[in-house]
Amino acid sequence: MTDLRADVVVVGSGAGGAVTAATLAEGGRDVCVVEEGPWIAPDELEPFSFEEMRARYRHRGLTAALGRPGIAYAEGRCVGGSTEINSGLYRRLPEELAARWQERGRILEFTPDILDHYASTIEEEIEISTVPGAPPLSSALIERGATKLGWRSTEFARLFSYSPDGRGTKQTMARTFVPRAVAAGARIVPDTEAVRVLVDGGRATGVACRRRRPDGAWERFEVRAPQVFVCGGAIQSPALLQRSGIRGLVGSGLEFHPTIKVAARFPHPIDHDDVPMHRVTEFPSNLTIGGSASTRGHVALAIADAAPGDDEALDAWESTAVYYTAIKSEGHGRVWTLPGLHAPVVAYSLTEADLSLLARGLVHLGELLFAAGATALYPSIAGGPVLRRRGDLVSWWDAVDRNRVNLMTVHLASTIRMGEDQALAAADSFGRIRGVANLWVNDASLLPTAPGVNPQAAIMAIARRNADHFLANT
Amino acid sequence: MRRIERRVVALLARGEPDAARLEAIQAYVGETLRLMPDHLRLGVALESAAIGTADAAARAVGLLDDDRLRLILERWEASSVTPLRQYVRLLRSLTLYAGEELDHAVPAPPGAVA
Repeated sequence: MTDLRADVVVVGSGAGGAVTAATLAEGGRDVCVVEEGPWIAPDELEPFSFEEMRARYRHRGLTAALGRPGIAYAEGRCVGGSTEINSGLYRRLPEELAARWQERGRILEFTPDILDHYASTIEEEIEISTVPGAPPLSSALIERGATKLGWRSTEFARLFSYSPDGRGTKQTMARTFVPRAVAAGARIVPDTEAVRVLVDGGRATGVACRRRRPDGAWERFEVRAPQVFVCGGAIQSPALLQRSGIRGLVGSGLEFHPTIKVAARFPHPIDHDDVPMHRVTEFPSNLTIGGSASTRGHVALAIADAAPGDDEALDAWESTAVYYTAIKSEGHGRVWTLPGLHAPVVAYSLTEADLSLLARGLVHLGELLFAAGATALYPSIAGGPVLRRRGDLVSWWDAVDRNRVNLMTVHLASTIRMGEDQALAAADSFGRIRGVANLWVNDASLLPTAPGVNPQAAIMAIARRNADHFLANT
Repeated sequence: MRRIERRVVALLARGEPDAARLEAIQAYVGETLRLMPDHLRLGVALESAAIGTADAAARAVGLLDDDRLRLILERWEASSVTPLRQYVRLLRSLTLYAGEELDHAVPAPPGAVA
């Protein structure tokens, strides 16, 4: 491939990159999007399937933050990014959290009114719905358990559209903002890795790229553009900047929502095609309870932590679904790039308070699932214990320790925070990187903290806000 | 994929898979290990090398048969040393996931990217 030229090059096509590309292209800029992963048509793969894991996940989902315990995390690596693999839950940024972010990081033009405006704009442009009719059983069980316990629960809206016959279609970026960007003239370059940002005389001038040829050799080329937006997500964006010699605060302050799962067996079959959309909202915002993907393989993985080799439990997968509790952690992490290593190294330090909160959440999750009718619970803890009676839940308090608990996360944020406080923020209030002209970040990296809710709504609204600011000022 | 890793996968596979199915599981696990982040793969490879060295030495005198290798894996899985425990968990998880999903995967439509 020969070198390309554009007004703006956008690296990444997930919730941040796709919104950025569509907004700038519709604003009249010549946009080129570089995406490391493949461009797969939205309907080509079954959601949460084995094939999707192979095709759309970075490292096939096998990534982990180092620490005690290590924490597995997942990222999308395809056109549309992680929006192609997530559950599509949509939750506006809580107003009080936006106010705290504004105050803590001294973020300009970040008032609730402004954020509401951009959230509304996004919501007018993409379909957000609850399930028409009754929710699937796996989701209704959350509501049933909460009702029995006198807890509040809510069906969260999702980025879904529904046909008249009730068939849901997730409104991923590959289905929404990427086609909009293309319709406005943007070029999408898939299967292409951004190796480093080109910087000349203190100004970003493009991106050096490489892509694998059919014969296995690397083909190298450049996308030259006077404006560069990096939107690879909270792990890949800081890694790209670091590989480009831009360090300082970049990569520090990683936050996410540590999550522990439980496989719950019921005395009846349960659906496995969708992710439960109900969430328990009884507890403070630092503790969430909900449901996960529960394919046959996912159920097996969840059972295996507590009961490896329990064939009888594995055979009962059709009556088993996976649920989780997630916390807003007090801990922090970091992303590094090291010479000789292609993938960034990620580390995260979980606090004792985090472990205590996870144990509390796990016990609450157990209460909920027993109240919903579960007959056996398999926590993601090496050696369990597997529980069959609510009275035994107390044993989970001590089981959540650093050497036994197996955690995961999907909501990664805060590695290139935005704001005017230069001691905290590597980017300004609109995502412009300090110290390098014409270089912007516009993804989950900018969030000052992990939000405690699904972050996609916040990422999209902030990306739209920053792109509008860019169009108005450059 | 290292030879010892193929043996570990064979031991951790659920039931008694026939040769073709075991080969498919081993291929999936091997490819996934290859795609791991470098630093994580290095850790796994070092642990595999540790078992592999013991295997090579023991095979010379006929000691490390499947039963003894299984015993090592059980000890590692119960170990308080996190990397040892996670090594077995990782290979068990990949083996189990592939074993459960490979037989039951919905065929991808024509043109799907594998």
